[in-house]
Amino acid sequence: MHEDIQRLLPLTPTMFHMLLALADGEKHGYGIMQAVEKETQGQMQIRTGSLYGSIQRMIAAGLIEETNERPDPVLDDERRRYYGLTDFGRRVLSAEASRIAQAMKVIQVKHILGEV
Amino acid sequence: MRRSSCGWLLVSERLYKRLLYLYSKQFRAAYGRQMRLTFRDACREAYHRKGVGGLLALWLPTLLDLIKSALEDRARQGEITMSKARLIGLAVPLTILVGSIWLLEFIGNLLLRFGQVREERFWDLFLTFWVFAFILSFIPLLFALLGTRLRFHPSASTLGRFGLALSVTGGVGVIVSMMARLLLDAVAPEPEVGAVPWVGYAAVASFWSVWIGYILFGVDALRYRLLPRWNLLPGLLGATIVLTFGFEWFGVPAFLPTQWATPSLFISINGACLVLLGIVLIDQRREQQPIEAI
Repeated sequence: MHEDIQRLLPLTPTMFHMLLALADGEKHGYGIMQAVEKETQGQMQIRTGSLYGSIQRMIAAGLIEETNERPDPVLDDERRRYYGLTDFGRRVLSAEASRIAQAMKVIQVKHILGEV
Repeated sequence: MRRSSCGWLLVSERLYKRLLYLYSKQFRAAYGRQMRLTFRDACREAYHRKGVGGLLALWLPTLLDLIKSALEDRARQGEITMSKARLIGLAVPLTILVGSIWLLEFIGNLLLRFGQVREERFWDLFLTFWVFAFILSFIPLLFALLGTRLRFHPSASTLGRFGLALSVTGGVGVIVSMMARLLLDAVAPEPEVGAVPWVGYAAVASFWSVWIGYILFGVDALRYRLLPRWNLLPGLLGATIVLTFGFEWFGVPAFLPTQWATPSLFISINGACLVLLGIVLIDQRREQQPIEAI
């Protein structure tokens, strides 16, 4: 399992932010797009084509899965599909976050942020 | 929601639905509906926030992303390797597609000019969108040219073959010089890009080669009746493009009324010629007869 996780690291920025968007619950495609844009303060915008290309690859890699749960079935369009993190996807996200946190420590030690 | 706003959104959704055919059948079956729903949501939000301008601003990056992701999908499916027959078959829809893109510019221009949209920002967005669409249309045009060359190579004379080869080479040159320009823009600061004039020369020479090639092929088509009908089309297409950009770069001759000699009008003629050429090629494909060698 550990080797499987390491094989996927480092994640591409798109994959990382999509996993991050799904970390707090299942979302449909447009929900993922909005969450990524909001969480990156507009610095990253995923378009529809890239979004579903990534979803396809991430499902194939076992990082995410389609879910049957619908947060609000009354208000929502029943044709929408929702996606959520798998256990493996959560571990990969955690490993990538650790890698970034480690890099952040180095950034802080070297006072890189102060130079921006 | 007002009727006109519904119209803009409806056209966007329908156009996007058609464009999804760029993806493989498997991908469309798995994600086509979800992509439409997601794009519909994005359109509604963009329109709600910024009106027609927001919708146009959404379309440009969406279109570029769609082409990129569709190519990636096709490459994953192993569909990019093309046979000769497939390229010949593709020449028909691609010729019509490029012609339609060019005609849309004319229609958009008319809508903005005579419609209720008069604000400058819409014109700016429209022009940006159109320039990108025009540049990108050279990619399908290259494949259309390759297919046309393969189809007519056995029946054309030396002049026609040379014309088609010149057009294909020009098409490759346009795309390579565009990529070189993008690469230089990405790696070098602006003044240094200006110091590499060969990129600009190569782009201009390639651009003219495409249309001069069409004129030569057009002469051959007229002489030997290579097309089942409308043999004037390839020559007319090449000639009008040469006139369009000749007027644009060197000015409109004094004896022509300048209000009519606009690039938009000429590009609409070019677009119509390409669409008609595509229709002629459909007819020829239906006939299913081998092309006689001269």
